[in-house]
This record gives sequence, structure tokens and C-alpha cells, in this order.
Amino acid sequence: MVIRILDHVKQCSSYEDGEVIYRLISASIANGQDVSLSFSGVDALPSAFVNASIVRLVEVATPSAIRQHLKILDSTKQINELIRSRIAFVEAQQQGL
Amino acid sequence: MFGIKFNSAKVVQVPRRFNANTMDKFISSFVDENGDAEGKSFEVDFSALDFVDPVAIVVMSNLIEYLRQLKIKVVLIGLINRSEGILYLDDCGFFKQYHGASLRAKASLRDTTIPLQLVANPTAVGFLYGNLIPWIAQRLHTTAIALATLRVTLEEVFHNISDHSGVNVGCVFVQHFPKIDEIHIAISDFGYGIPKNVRKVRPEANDQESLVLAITEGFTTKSNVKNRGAGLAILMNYVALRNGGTVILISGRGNLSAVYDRGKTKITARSREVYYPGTLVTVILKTNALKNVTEDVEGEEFSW
Repeated sequence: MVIRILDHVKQCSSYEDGEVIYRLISASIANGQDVSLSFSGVDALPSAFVNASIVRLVEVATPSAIRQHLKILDSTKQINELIRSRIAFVEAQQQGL
Repeated sequence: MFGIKFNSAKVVQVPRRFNANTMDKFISSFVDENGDAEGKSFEVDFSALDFVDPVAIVVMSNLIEYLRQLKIKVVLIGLINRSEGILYLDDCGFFKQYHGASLRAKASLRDTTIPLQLVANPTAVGFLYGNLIPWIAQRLHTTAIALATLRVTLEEVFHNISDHSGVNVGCVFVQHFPKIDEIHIAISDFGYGIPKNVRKVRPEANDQESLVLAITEGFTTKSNVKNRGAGLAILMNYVALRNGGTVILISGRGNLSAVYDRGKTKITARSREVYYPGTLVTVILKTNALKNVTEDVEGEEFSW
């Protein structure tokens, strides 16, 4: 399943924007299905959007399961770094590091 | 809620040189450390003003908005003065906003500033997309897309205002200083302030410690589950590490700065003698060091 973000939200800014994406992908990730998120047309993301759409997936799957099943497409350096660092941070918190 | 401490009218002199170094005495003439107003009405005397910087403009705007919120009348006087500071305020729209009209018919916006803005949170993203970032791009002869990471970094400030301040409006003023290759962005809200919010979960923290906690990734007041304690940390690290710029955070009686220092973000927290109502964020960008910022919006294949 490939989900193009801008087909579902006008912009990637707020927590509420991110929640729209979370609702689209969380069940699939929870069930161990692969999901691809395309950021085509998006140049950069604030943390609120990433927290709501992707970081919140730790409520339904482990960080390693998220890494296994969530693919990120058509992204930029900033988007990639923010997603990686936020998931890594939450994982470290879970491990008590 | 904050109130009025003395039931008297006060006249407050604007400093001759009004900037971050001289703002404390000015602020303390209006509000005490509890955020209560020092009078039932104020006359603000501009007759001595000679110089004013972007932070001081936002501070004045913030104070006036704060006092109006408390239903306190604020009148501007001493406006016969036509110093450079007064002309600058007139050109940026300050008197139009708070005196009912510009002082001069020919008052007009300078190329190096945007108009003083009150930005309500629902329109903050539109302001960044439609006004601020295109203006900075035009000043720096680049594109708004190239500055997208700067845009989302500033979004962190507006999200923070929305999530933590208890108010929905912030004051914004921006100036380009081409001779020193810097852009100064001052944003202030007149809400609860960060320390008061932090003490909901860490009652023992003083204001200075509260600011350190507020920029610590993972710390959250849970006043709002949305933030996950990342926004201010990202703002500080991004500006310091990717631009070599500076972020200064003032709230209550705390002051915190973030600068680049040998590959890391150096955080310095201090206490302030004077209470700041709400929160003031100053972002100083190095315009000759935006290469990293523009590279960050280049496409890159993702890997975990």
C-alpha cells in the first residue's frame, strides 16, 4: 500500500494533519503489513506532524516492527533525519537509556 | 488570573536606547513578578526614545496586548519626538497598531523589515508560508522552498505558543541586518509563560530550571499530549547546529540561550531579576551560513 501524504492532507504542519495519516496507516502497521508513505511535494516537516503520524505508531507496534513495515518514499534530508531521530529517541526512552 | 496591584495611573518612560539590555526596567514598570499590573492605567512616554531594536518592539507590543487583556488602558505620549527610533516604529506600523494611526502621512515599511504582526495560531502557518518565508527568500535572493526547513523550525515556535501559552496569539517582528549578515526574528506571546506550565509537573523547578526542562527532548508537561517534548529542542539544535545562529528564550524570570560551540549546542540558562509576562523567543539567523539549511530540502533516499 502506497499512501501519498498530500492526497489526504493539504499540508504537513499540525498534529491534526499528522493524525489523519496515523488513522490511515496504524491498523496496517499493527497487523504487520507493509505501508509506504510518499512525501512527494513535501519539502520539510515540523515535529508535531511526525509525532502524530509516525512516532505515535509506537502505541501499536515496536520500533523495530515500525522500521520493518514502514517505508518512506520521495523524501528529503530533513524529513528523513527527523523521522529517524524521533523514532530512535522514543526507542531509547522505552529502553530506559 | 492576573490582576491590578495598585489602583493608580502611571507614566512610564521608554528608554533612550531600547533593546534587550534595557527592557527589564521598562517591563517592571508595568508588571510585577506575579504578572500583576502596577497600575490601573498607563501613559507610555516616548519623548526620550532614540533607538529601538526588533526585540524591544515585540516586548512593547506584547506588554500592551497583555495589559489590554487585563482591561487596562494604555496611552502613548511624547510623540512630538522625531528621533530615528520613533521614525522606525512609525515605519514598521507600531503607531498604526497602538496609537490609532501612523504619526506621519509618509510612514512606509522599510525594505529590511516586515510589518509588526499579531499572528493568531490558526493563521500562523499561513503567515509563515505566505508572508515571512517568501520575504526572507526575497531578501536573500533564494526561494521559499530552499528555506522550507527554516519554515518548519519556526512552526515549532508557533506550535509551542498554541500548546503551552493558554493564548492563541503571538506578536512577531523581523528585521534583516544586511551589514552584519543576520536576520533577527522576535516572537512573543502573553500567555502563562513556560515556568508556570512546567511547574504543573515539576513544582520544585525555578524559572531557570523550567526553561532547561522545556527544551529537553522527551520532557513534557502533558498539558497537551501532542508535543512529546521535541519542538523547542529541535528549534534550538537546528538553528545552532545547522546555521550557527542563536536562539534566546525568555519566560517568567528565566533566560536561556542556545549557540553553536565546537560541534554542539551550548545551552546557557540564567535567572532574570525581572518577570517577563509570557514567553519571548528571539532567533538570530546567519544569512551567510544558510548552505546547510538549503541542502536539507534536497531529495534523499530514506533508510532506517
